[in-house]
Amino acid sequence: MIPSLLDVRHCSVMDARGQALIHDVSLSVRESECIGIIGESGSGKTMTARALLGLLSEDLKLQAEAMILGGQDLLTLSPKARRQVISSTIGFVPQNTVAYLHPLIRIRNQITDGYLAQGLGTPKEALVKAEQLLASVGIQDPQRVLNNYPGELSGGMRQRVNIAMALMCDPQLILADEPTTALDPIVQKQVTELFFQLHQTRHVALLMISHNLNLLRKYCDRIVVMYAGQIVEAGPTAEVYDYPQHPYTQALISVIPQLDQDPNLPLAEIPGFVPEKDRDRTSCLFADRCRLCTPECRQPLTIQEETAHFVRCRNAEGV
Amino acid sequence: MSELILEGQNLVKDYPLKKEVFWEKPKTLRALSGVSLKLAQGQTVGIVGESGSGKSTLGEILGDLQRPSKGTVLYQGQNLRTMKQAEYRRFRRNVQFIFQNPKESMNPYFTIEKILMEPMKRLDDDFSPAQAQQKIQTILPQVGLEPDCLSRRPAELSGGQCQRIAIARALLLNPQVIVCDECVSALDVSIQAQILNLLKSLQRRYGTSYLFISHDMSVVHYMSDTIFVLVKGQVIEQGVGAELMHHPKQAYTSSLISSSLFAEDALCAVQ
Repeated sequence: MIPSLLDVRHCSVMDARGQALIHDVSLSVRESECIGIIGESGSGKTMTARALLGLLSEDLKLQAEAMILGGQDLLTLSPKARRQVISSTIGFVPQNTVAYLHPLIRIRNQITDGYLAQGLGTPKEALVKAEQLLASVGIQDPQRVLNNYPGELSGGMRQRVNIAMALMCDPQLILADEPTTALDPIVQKQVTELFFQLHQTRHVALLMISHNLNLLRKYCDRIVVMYAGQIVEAGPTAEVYDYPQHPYTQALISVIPQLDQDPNLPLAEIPGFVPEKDRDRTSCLFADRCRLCTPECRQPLTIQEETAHFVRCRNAEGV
Repeated sequence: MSELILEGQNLVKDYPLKKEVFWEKPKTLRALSGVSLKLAQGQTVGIVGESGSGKSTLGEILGDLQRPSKGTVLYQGQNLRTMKQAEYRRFRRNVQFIFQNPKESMNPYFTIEKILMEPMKRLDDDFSPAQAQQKIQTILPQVGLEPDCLSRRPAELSGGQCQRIAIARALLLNPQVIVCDECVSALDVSIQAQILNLLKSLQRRYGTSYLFISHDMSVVHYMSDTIFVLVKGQVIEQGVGAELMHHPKQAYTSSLISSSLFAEDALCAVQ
């Protein structure tokens, strides 16, 4: 049994009015494992990532039974110690490449900042390391890029810089929040392949957030499906993709237009919208849009936990 | 062959670049170099390419939001630059846009009702508020919206709902052509399917033509009769949807297909 690197149990995030933005999220990542989180916008994917990184804004409240990262429970640590553990263990790659890099600071200073702040080496060593990492993420002229400002680089290049920056402190886990969404399809493919190449050569664990199921399916060991701030299904990739149990996962797979889609037939669609206000967390949140919905679905839902293939649905049991 | 509505002949667009030294000759960036395109009634032409390939420029030139540097746009056989004003007004009315970001294409201070009313007020010759109201009431259920959204403002609606408003706004004028510039890329897959189905069913009902611009090959394939592949302002390949998808002639096209949605495995699995 490979030990868990990250273990989040029953994590919820509430806003100022006490409404849960994410509810009862349990997640574990083992060493050198690749996990994909999928969900539509508003499903709480990014909020989960921010909660893990301790980047929640101050008016939000985090509640969790445990948040264990690298053997230490983050909830029991002081804010300073928590930051130290998080920043030395997790490398973060954001979705928005523009907002994450400071426009007025040269890449060389931004990329080495975290490394130096943690006291991992001298500025000279940091620059050498940055150069090596930039080369390893496929930047041909690292010297020049180090002296550039973010505005002088293309989106794909900036994302490569972000990836190199995430690797500077030799993290055990890379958390990537929709790292390719803002990129062109061809660059998208290159960057994704770079991620999994790093995953394989460096044996870092990867927690990849995306709304592209085909992408996650190709690379991830396990997939977590989120809907309206809850995990609705989680399990090994092959099981979740080939034998989805939750009606939402089934619908999500069927609505993706495939390249061999018959243009004369309508696409499958999920009627309605994600519930936004006044979510009743006790019963099933997908019930209004579900094709299998029965009157019992409006009743409070109890679910079994600690299963390899988790499904938050009354009708899925024994399917 | 159905009636030809919109035609672009040898369209070229140059954007001026900033001069680095003031005595330099002005440099230009060629966004579009010699693209010709025909759009017939009830047809969908798909345009794919990376960002910066000139897809949006092409759409905007065909809808006359930008003037081409060279080349002409013909609307029902007439040059836009030489046609009479009344004719041009008819062109404006019959060629509508749906943009990528619906919220940015609406005035945030207007209510939805005013947003929907505005184009009819400007472009309908026999405009009457009562009739326009009625039209709005009939179009809302078709795009899957409740009438109570009329009193709200764009910021109060979700992205999917705003995109439906944008579609309703385009449809209220019963246009012959709708230029859809990445109109589903910002939406979630489940909403995307709803919008695509809606556009298809409207095409069957009203015979609308679409110029469908996207970087997503599978979406373009689903929507289009013919597909144009644009690279750096040039059409490198064009063809009938299924044929181009399954037997791309250019290496670029096949790499675009394979990187789109990472679907090559899915495709293999099905076959």
